[in-house]
Amino acid sequence: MTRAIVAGVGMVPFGRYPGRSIADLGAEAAFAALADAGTSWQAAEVMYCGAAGAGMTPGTRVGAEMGLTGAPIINVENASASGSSAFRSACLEVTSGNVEIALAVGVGKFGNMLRLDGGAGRPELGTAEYRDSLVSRMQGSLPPVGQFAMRTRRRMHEFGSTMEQFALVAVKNRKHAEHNPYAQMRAPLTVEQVMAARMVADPLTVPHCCPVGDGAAAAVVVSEGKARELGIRVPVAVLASTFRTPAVSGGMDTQDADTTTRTCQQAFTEAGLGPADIDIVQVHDAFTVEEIEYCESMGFCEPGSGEFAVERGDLSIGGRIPFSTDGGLLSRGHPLGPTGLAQVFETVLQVRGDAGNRQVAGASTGLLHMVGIGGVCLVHILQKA
Amino acid sequence: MNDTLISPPAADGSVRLLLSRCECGAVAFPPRSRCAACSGTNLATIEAPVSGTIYSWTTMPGSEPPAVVGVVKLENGVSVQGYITAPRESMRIGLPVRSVAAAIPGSDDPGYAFEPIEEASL
Repeated sequence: MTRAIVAGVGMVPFGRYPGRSIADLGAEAAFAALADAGTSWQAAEVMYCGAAGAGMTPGTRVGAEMGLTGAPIINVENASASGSSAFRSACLEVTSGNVEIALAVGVGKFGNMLRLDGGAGRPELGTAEYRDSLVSRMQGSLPPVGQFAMRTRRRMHEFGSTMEQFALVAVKNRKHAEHNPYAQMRAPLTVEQVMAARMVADPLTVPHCCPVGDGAAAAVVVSEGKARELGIRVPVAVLASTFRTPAVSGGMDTQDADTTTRTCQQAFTEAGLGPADIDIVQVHDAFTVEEIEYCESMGFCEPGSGEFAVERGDLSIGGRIPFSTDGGLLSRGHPLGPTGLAQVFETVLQVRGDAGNRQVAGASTGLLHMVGIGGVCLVHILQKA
Repeated sequence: MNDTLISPPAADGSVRLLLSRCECGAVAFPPRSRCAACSGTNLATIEAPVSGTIYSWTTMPGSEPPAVVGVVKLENGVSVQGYITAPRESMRIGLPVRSVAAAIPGSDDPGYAFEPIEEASL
């Protein structure tokens, strides 16, 4: 069985593109990835497209923009983890021997926001949908930020963490993004600015939350034989691709962390590696508390010590195990669909040694982690082959 | 329809949330017709304890004055999210609360909220 090799990556910087469509953004990222791999759109045997809340068949629209080739295009929706899910599917197409060249693309535009109710509007009295909406409204219909605000407050209660410690995650990831031309938020940020910013959901101010935006990212995944044929300069092997959903209906503050632990453990087993073998981590840091929680649940720090790892600089570029080297969701941005593929883009640049001023010296192995609303978790381990 | 979710209010204004309890012991709010733990379909409806404590809380984005929403751990261990009828300044984890009848904010639909239990009545 061949391993899956990432042969090329491409990305449209995350930001705001009011004049451009999802198809247009996706095509730019896809053509960039194909060019990086030294291959062509006509050679791609299958395309997976990750998007969330982007309407029907967004990937098919990207494909139509790129030009008709007859290749299958599969649309994947898994909330924040849509792009990671598309990447995993492309890898499985290659490792199964079904194809030799697969393309994964992720697209997202602000305004095409995630609607958990399917966008059906106010449901009719007496229907199951009405009962669901009633339950939701009784419970307060909190947006995701509210759930993460409660997780942050609970963690402060459990471990004595301070808001300044959480703010340091936002400041650290912004510092990484300052050196990333593909990042959405690059202006310098201080702890004082984070503390004084507008309150969104107590105790979280704006910089504790990732920005919304537009963007696209893509990766070309090929077989080992095809990588040799294409003469890929630095092939990057996919050592693990794991995907779990929650197995325990735990509290809001434990379910994502628990699923992360089990998905990571499975990935480490699949790759034959442990946390000590990982050089860089891209994490689902949609809110500051998450990076601290997950660095523990992944096995990089002891429970209750994540805040101090951030304070010591362990998770900074130059530290023991740099997290979110491109700025993370907090500063690189999070347009939902492309985010998982932006993590692939960053990891490939880092292990090639092409990450410029944010290069982690000697990085050869990266772990990529995404969670999505509703309870999905994907982990990939990529290594310079 | 919410008579399948909460009991009629008692004289003191309190309501009890209705839970499903499966033969396997799993308890859920909102009540389920098929158990999430064992897929069983033999579920009874039971009333939740009226009292619990605040597990965590936040404020509803965009609300003014800030509406407090929290997760309450009821005395039987079940966690339920809802509005808390207390100002933000008086909120703390561990605060004792009870479930009471309250219109759902932004509508006239009857629902529940959690209100702090006066220290004197403890």
